[in-house]
Amino acid sequence: MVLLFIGLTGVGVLAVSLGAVTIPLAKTWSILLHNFLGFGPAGGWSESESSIILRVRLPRAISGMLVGAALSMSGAVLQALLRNPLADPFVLGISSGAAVGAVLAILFGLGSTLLGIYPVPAASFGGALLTLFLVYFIARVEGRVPTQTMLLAGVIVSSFFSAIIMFLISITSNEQIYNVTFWLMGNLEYLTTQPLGGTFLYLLIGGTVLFLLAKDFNLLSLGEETAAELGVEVERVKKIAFVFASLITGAVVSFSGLIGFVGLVVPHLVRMIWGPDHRFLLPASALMGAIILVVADTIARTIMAPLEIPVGVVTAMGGAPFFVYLLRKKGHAVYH
Amino acid sequence: MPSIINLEAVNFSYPGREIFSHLDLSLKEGEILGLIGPNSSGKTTLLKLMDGLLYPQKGKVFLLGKEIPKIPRRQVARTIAVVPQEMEVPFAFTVGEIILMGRAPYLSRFGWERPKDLSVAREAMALTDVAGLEDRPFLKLSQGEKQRVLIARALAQEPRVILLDEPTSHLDLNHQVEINELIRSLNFQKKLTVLNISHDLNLAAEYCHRLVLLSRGSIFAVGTPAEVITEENIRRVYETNVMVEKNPLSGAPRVTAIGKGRKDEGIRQRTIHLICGEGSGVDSARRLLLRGYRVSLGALNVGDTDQKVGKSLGLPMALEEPFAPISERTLRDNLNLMAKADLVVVERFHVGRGNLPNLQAAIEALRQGKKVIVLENDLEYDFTDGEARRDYRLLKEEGAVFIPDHSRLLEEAERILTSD
Repeated sequence: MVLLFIGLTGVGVLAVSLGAVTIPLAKTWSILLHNFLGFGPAGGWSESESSIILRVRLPRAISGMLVGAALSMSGAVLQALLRNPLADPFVLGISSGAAVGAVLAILFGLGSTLLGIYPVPAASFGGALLTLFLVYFIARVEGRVPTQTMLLAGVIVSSFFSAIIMFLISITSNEQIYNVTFWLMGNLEYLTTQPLGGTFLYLLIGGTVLFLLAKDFNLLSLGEETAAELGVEVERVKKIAFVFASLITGAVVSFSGLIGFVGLVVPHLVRMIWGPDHRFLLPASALMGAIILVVADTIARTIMAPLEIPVGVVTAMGGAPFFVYLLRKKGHAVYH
Repeated sequence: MPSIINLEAVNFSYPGREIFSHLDLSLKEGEILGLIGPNSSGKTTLLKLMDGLLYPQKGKVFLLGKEIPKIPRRQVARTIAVVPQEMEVPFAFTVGEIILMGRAPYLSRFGWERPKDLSVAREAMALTDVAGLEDRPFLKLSQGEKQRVLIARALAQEPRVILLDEPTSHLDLNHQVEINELIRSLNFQKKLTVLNISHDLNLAAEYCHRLVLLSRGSIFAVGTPAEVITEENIRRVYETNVMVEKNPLSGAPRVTAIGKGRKDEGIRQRTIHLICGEGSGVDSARRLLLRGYRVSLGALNVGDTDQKVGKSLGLPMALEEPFAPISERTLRDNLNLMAKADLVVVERFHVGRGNLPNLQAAIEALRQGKKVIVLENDLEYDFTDGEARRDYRLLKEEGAVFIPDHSRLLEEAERILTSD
């Protein structure tokens, strides 16, 4: 865990220093240290350099961390609840639902604050939660939610929402099409204006609640009956977990768009290295997800600089082959 | 003895399928209760009702005097442990992790395991002979090892009651005996109460204080092994002939299924004609075919269950128009089929004016020297003003063999055909 923290800090600093204008690592360190911890020399860099670091890249790196952490944690939770290593916010349509909410809010021009709340994240969370209940409702058989029907329902609902999104795009004015499409592809560019503090709060609350359920996730991954026999109030835990998993998903999808594969691959990676105990898996997935998304975003920003490609493209291009590699290497025993 | 788990007047159905109606059963403190019965007699369902995983639609289940759905699951899990038949795990948990999960009902919300939890788990592992496996992934174990790990996890719960669903089905002989010995010693030393579902009648008879014999969702017999495992009970419930004798070492009843061996291969290729209707012949037809007999049916209305099954099995049949009474011509067809058969069986069906000729055909066959087996029919609803009753009397007078139920059919048929 300590290792992951160090890794995250290192990757963060590296990400902040790289870009269209590369600022040397040492200088980046001193800017960060000076401004946040108040020590070190207060000079040796230009105003513009410090502004790039503090106002542009740092918020972006932090939002990348938040998105990666949220998606990975949510993926790990859904995989446990559905006892299916292929589950993630994407597969279940939660991300698409959140996206519909967000797209609607953007198209109706609710980008700015309204009565003191931020409409886009709220609409996005609403969309995620709505999707979840929809999936839950469709998949419910005799008061239970078997994995198979839940996954099927996820596929159906998510393609339905994709259709809605395409419909919304098709009736949109030209100028907005670019914005919405680029956002949908998974992008961390817009976010710098968004309230990072608020999102962080969502994640902190959601993450804490989910972490407190970690022991129950261990038991639930042995099956709902076994979990009940070992003392878990299954239906209650499932409801809470679903709500908070969609809360953190909705909160980040609202500003990052659809970024796939992080929620699927990261928990696998962590299980492979440290095993499946959720008391460790959840926080470790959050940190690992943060690292991976910051790396991916840095690649997205720099590989064709000054042009930027959507980070969702990078995660999918890197994640899909990686996943295939996992499948091929381990055969059926991919269940890390 | 006070009871630990009590089922009172329990009704339970899965959607569209009733399993139990008005079932009473109590698991008494300190006993080893064996639950036996054929497939789909409701054994596992009963276990889940006792554990509160399923709720009865009517009636109540009590754990130590409290109604089970009202007790928090954590509390239940400290009292009852369940050993399932098998468990699929989608992730690579190690054996140690799986067994420690048995301590979950004792951990706090934030809790990691304390030294006490580790020592309880270690003791459970030693008792079940899985010590040394703790770092292996559960997925990679053999079936037998998995079963022992699941028992270890149940013991780690330090329960007062343990419910086992065929705990030794995948084990080899020495581990079967070992696990049963372990259960008995835990019962003796730690006063653990045990419910054991078993397919193995002999092991159940050997190790259980009391047995419950389930048959199609009701308790067929309950009592000591010697009271429950009798030739008659087993034959009626399992529909198989067995020999029950006393195990000379322990005094427990010992069951041996009576196979047919090769002695009767000569009687196969014989034809048996079933007089049936309303689906009454389906079971017999299937079993006779499986034994190697040829089977014909009659006389049936087109659309009758027996006719549909007969058609799909390609059996020769004497047929009548749908819902029409049996005509002269069909009666003759039926008699012709009987003439070709070596034995005629009259199944149990409702008799009305329409199918009365079926009984008359059987009487005719008897008079022509055919052997006839008749299933006793109390004619609960007689739609023939007594004519059916008279025909059954005639059948008896003419020398038909009457049997009370299907469990004796194969045996009688073979007896008659071999005496020819």
